[in-house]
Amino acid sequence: MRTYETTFVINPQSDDAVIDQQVNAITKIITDNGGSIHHENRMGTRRLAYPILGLAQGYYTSLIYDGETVIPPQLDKYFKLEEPYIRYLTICYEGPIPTTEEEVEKETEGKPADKPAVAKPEKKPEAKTEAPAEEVKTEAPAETTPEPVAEEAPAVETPVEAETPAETTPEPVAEEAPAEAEAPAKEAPVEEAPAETKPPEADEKEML
Amino acid sequence: MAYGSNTNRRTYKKRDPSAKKRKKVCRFCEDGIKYIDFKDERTLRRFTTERGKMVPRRTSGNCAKHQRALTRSIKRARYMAIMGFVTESFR
Repeated sequence: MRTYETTFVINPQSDDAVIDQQVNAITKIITDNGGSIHHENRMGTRRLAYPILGLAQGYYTSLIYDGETVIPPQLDKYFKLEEPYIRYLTICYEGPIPTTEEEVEKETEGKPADKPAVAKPEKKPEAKTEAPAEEVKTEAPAETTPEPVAEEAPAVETPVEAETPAETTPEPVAEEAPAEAEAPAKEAPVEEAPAETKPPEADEKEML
Repeated sequence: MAYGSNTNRRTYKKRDPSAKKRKKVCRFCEDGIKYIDFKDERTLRRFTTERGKMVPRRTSGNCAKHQRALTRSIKRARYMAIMGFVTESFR
């Protein structure tokens, strides 16, 4: 048994139901051959770095699974025969297996936090149109409800902030690197340019 | 003009010793990252130039082990169209 990671890109022009089927077809191949899927990461439609078969976007999915050595060649065969799979790559996975709960929380917390914020303001005007006696009652919960949203929002942001500083710190060095590389490149022609231009002048003087 | 070129050389000579003294540390070793994911475009972008070329070890300061892993994941990312082989503006 080995841990593999298969990433593939599907043509995004088909419907969501069809894409689901195409992803499920691959999970079936893995499970039918005695493999067990640890993690399924649907990255969704992303822009391709370069056009493939005239397509600018692709639906990315990656599967991390345990299985026998029989599975990768079978997957390769399937990918080759089926048209909607634009790109595919199976590698021996050496990294830590991501726990599904952590990633699901990260993905889900970000989205619902935005949705209720938009939905709640809509409720307020509805409550006002109703009986004035209810206004006091309805507004009170309406005021309380945004608070948990406000609490949730920073909770979502804090892990992101905690991650970013570690990531952002190395950036300046990366920026410096090209700057250093460019600087000598710019200086070099300046030095060379006058050296090249001088000799003809000197030659002209000599000729005169 | 000759003076200008001389001054440039002097400044260049002054820079060299200070650059040698710097000790670059592998960022992956510092952060304790063991596996570099080829789908993590953000991390990989930091170790490529604007053109999409891989930054050498002497500039990035990566250790040999992580540089090898990084190269592998950049090449995988290129194949999967996560990163470009060449940047658009230079195509």
